[in-house]
Amino acid sequence: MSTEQLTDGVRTGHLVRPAGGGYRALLTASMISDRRYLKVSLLSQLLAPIAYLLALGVGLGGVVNHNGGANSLGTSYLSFIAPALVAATAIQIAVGEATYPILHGGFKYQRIYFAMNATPLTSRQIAGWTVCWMSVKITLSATIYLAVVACFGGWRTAGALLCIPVATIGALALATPLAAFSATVRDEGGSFAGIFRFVVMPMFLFSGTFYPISALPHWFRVLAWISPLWHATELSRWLALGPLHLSSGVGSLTPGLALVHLLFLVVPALIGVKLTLWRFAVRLAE
Amino acid sequence: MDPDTAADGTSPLIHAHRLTKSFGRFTAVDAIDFSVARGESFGFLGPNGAGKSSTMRMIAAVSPVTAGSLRILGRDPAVDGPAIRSRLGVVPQQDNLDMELTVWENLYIYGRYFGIGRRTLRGKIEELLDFAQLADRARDKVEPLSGGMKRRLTIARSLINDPEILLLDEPTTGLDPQARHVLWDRLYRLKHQGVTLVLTTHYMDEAEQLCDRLVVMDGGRIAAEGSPAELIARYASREVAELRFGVGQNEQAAGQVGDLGERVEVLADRVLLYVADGEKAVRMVHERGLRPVSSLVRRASLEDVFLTLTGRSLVD
Repeated sequence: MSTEQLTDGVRTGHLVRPAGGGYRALLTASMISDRRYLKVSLLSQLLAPIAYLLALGVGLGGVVNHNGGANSLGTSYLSFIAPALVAATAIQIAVGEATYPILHGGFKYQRIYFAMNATPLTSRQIAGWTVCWMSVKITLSATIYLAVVACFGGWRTAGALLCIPVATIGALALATPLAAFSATVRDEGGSFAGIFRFVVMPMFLFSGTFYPISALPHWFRVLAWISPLWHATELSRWLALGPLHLSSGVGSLTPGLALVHLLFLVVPALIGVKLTLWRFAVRLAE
Repeated sequence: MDPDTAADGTSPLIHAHRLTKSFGRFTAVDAIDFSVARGESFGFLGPNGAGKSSTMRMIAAVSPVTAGSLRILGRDPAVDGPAIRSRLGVVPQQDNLDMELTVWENLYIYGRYFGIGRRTLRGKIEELLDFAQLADRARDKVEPLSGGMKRRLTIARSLINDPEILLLDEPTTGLDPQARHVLWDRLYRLKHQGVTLVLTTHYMDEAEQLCDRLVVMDGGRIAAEGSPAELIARYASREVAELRFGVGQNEQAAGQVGDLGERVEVLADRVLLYVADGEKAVRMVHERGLRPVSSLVRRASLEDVFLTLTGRSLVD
C-alpha cells in the first residue's frame, strides 16, 4: 500500500516520525493518564501533612515543647520534625510509584510498557520517562508539604526551600533500585507489602524523623546510617535550620559531612537509574 | 542504498534466513527461513508453543534475534528498531490497552507516541473509530468494553500510523464466534486495501479465511509452506470421512478400513479416512459389515495438513 491507504480519509503515514514522539509524547500521555486522579491526589496531599502536623507538630509538639523540648532543641518541635516529614513523605510516595504501577500496570496485567515499546519508543525512553515522571510527582508533593509546613509556622529560614530537591533525591535513592526490582519480578507475592512494612515503616521510625538518632542505642544507629531517609533528614535539617546556628547543635553539619550525606543519596539513585534502564530493556525484549 | 527504497515492489518486506530465538537453553525458533511480499497475507499456523509468538516479536523489532538474519522493510531490527516500528502495526496476543483511559484517549496517546501531529491525529482517530465500529464508545473507558470491542480497539490502535505491515498475534483467540466474524471482516477489508498482513493462529479456519500463504510451524521449525489450497492438496486428500466406532473400537476398525483411503488416522474418539470421495468410502465401510456409531464426510482442511505433518491436532 504505497499510495492507497486504509480509506480515502486522513493520511498519517508520511507524518509519522521515524524516531517517534519521544519525551513530549510521553509527557502528554502521563498528563492524560494522571489528570483523572488530580483532584483526589491533591486533596490527599494536602490532608496528609495537615493531619501529621496537627497530631505530631501541634499535639505531640505541644507536650514536647511544654516539657523543655523546645529549649533543648533550640527550636519548636514542629520546626524540628517538619524537614524530616517532607523527606519521609516523599519516600512513601516514591515507593508507591515504583512498585505496583510498574509491575502491574506496566509489565504484567495492563502491559502498557509493551504497548509503548511497539511504537518507535525505546525501552530506554520508557524507563527514563518512568523515573522522570516519578520525580515530578515527588517534587510536587514535597512542595505542597512544605507549603503546609509554612502555614503551620514551621518555616524558619529560606533554606527550607532546598528541602524539596533533597526530598526528591532522597526518595529516588530508594525508588529507582525498587523500580528496577519491580521490572524484574514475575509475581510479587506480597513482596511489595513487605517492603512497605519492613523497609519503609522502620525507616520512618528510626531515621531521626521524630528524635535525634543519638537517643538510640549505638548498635541501633547502624540502621539509620543505611537509611536514605536519615541522610535526607540530616541534609534537610541542615538546610532549613542550619543557618540559625542553634546552640543545641540541631541542623549543624560540616560541609564535608553534608557532602557525604548527599553522596549517600545521589549514588544509589544513579545506580538505581542504571539498573532500571537495564531491567526494563531485558523485560521488554522477552 | 537507502534502506527505504530496498523495500519496493520487488524485494520482500520481511526476509528471514535461519532465524533463531533461544531463551537460555530452550530454542523457541529454530533456524527458520521465510519471506513476505508486499500486499501479501502471510500466516504462521501451529499449536501453542510452536514458536509463532517468538517469531512475531522478532519481526515486531522488540525481541532481539539470537542467530540468523532478519530484515524488515530492508532494515536490520538490531540497528533500526524505532524506524522499523514507526512503519509497523502490532496487535499482540494479549490486549495491552490502558484500561483506565477512554477509547479515544488510548488512540490519541498511541498516535502521539508515533510523533503524529495533534490535528492529523484527531482526524485519523475519527476514521479509525468508524472502522472499528466504536464511534459511539469513544468517550467510554476501555475496561467495561466487551472482549470483541477491546480487540477491535487494539486493531484500530495498531493502524494509527498507517502501517505498511500489520502484525496480528492470535487475533481472534478467546472471542465468541460472532465477534470473530466481525473481526475477520475488518481484517479482510484491510487486506483488500493492500495492507500486508502477517498473522499467527492456531485456528485452521482463520488461516484459510485470511492467509494467501502460510507456513505450518511445529517445535520451532517450519514443517511446510504454501497456500492453504496447495497445502491441503499436497498433504491431505480432497475429502475426509470421519467414522466413530465407539469407545475402544476405533483402533481395530481402522485396521479393517485402512485400504479404502489414501491414508488413515486414528484419533482418540474417531477414525479419519483420507479419500477422494467420502460418501463412497462410507458406503464401502458399511458394505464390509462395519457399523460406525456415526459418520460424517467433509472437505479436507488445514487441520488435516497439520495432523499429517506432525501426527497431532492443532487444538488440544
